[in-house]
Amino acid sequence: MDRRTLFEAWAPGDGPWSPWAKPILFAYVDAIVVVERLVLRPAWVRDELLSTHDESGADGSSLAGRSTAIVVDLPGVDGVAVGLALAELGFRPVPLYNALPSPEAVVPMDDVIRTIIAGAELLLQRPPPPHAPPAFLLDARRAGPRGFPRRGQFDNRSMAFETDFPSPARLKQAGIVDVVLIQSHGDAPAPDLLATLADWQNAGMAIRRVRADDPSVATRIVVPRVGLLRRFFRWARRGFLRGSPHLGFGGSVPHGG
Amino acid sequence: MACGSQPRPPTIKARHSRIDPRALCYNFAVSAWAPEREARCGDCVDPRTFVDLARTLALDHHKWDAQVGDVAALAPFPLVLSRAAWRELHATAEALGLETVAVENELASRPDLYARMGVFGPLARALRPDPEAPPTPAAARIMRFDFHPASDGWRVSEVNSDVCGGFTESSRFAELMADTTGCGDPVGDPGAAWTDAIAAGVPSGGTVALLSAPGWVEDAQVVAHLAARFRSRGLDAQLASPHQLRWVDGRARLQSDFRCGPVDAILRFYQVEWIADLPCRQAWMPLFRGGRTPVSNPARAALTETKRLPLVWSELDASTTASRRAMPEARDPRDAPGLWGGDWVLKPAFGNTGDHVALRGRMSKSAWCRTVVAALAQPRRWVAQRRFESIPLQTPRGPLHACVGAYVIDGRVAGAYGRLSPSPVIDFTALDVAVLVES
Repeated sequence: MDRRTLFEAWAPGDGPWSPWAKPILFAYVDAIVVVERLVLRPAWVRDELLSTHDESGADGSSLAGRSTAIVVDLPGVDGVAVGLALAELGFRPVPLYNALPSPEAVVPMDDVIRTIIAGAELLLQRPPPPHAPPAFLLDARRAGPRGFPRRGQFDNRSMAFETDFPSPARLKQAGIVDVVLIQSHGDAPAPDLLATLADWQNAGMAIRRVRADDPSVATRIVVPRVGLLRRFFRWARRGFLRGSPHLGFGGSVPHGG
Repeated sequence: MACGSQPRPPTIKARHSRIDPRALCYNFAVSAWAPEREARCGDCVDPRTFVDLARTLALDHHKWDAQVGDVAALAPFPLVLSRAAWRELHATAEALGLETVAVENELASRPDLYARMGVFGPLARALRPDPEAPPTPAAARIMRFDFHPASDGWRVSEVNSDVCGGFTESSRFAELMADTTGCGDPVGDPGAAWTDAIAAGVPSGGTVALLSAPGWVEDAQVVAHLAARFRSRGLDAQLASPHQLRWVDGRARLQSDFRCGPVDAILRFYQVEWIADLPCRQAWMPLFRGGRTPVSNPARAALTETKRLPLVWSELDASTTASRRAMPEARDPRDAPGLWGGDWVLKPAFGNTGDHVALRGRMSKSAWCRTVVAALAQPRRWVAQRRFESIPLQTPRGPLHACVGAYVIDGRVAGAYGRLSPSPVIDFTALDVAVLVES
């Protein structure tokens, strides 16, 4: 399987969400790769996520429908594995990995690449329906470990911005009315996701969060007003971040001295 | 000119062809100017073919930002310039390139002008001449002049003198679109020309370090693309951060987990004003001066990158004739009559991809007022540029404003980067378009 076939498996040329799939990791796959067959897809996705209920008691079965988009913000291979499990439930996993792979990188990507390669075989064998709702896959390690990375490491940290995702209008056009964020820990979404979630929320979409360690409960979250967020980002950039003022593709992260 | 006893920095010798004086006279031929004769757009490529083409760019040629929000950033049709138009842009860009290098060399010994140019703080201190640490030699000098079809001919909005991208788009994308559409020929390969120019000074099997800011994926894709070109020449190309450089007797070494060893040349794709803000001064200072390992671009490119440069043209001995002719009038925001009314475009002295460029009519009234207030509050960080009337071209996507960026490398034009935008301001949301010249 060459890198083009691999990318085609994850992002079919005619797939409605394929334009958002990030090609970086795929571009670093050797021209010819041997497909590894073992991918452990977490059972909780199939067993519990479909029966997830809101804290309010409302039925969470819309996850099984076509009106929910999912953002998987889990570390490394966990995110890919959950994405593949969601594919079996009828979602289209959309990889949004922006980190350049390197053996000495701050965010190691080798395992992620291997899992993506292995997952391609599964996606080719049992592709999600053509108009499957999207499950955007992010690496929760993208900002690197806490503090500064070691000076000698290859700095491949990255951030997620609104422009990495479809607009609320585009999602609504596809019949998406709510979003489920799957994350591994913590109560708040990652800071770089807030502006995206706020945009979706402001467009009337409900945002719910599911924790991977307790997937049976979906918590409705309210993202702070986007104006305040943008002001915060602008302020933060002056201090230690450098990003596009429009939060365009890319952004930078603190430097170690 | 106040050179005093300061030693002059080494001059970059620009290899230049003869300049066609007709190219500098387009303002005198306004009546003959018709954008549709200069540039036109070809038909759209079949969608399936174009998806395939875009994938080739993404997977084989490092074009990773082809989708920005809901916008597919690659135009599925080419921008075809007439031969005459390309000759004009070519000659004008070479003339501007010569002037820019001459101005830069003169400014290197004129720190008295830096503050007026919007160069201050750590950047100014790093650029200030130091008799004990001469400027670090240049491996090659690349810049890009952005031309726009306007009501009175081609206008240059700015020079991207320090860091300019668009190499995959101006070479591989153009080649693929030329092959697919048969509408014309690519006008050059600036990525090849730049890496050739740097590689010329690197021994066989030597190492080139490519610096870019972490987290900026659109910059990472550029250095990844250029690194692949170095590797195809048998050189060792390493992507790194400035803090991973060590300097021994002015010679750079990479000191990292992924590579330790001497560096023969440095390709800097890292804005110089950002580098000057980094804490690891010992690692980056020799990029400015005191280093012996050649760097491209040299740090003094910042002196011609600032959009406030035109404010000191009158203070210079170097000729600025071509620049004055091609570029709109520029003023300090405090001296721009009718600023509030929108006769001027406000630009930050140092900006990237159209960031913060403010044009009344393109933004809300309150946003425009806020920008004017910001510019008046900190005028040295801004410049007011006389607004010119950009003429949109007819395209398969409706009327769009075009920008053709002509690369000049060591004095010679090396290719062109095209963008199209619904707005007269070309920013990160603009479409990349393949620039071809009619066969």
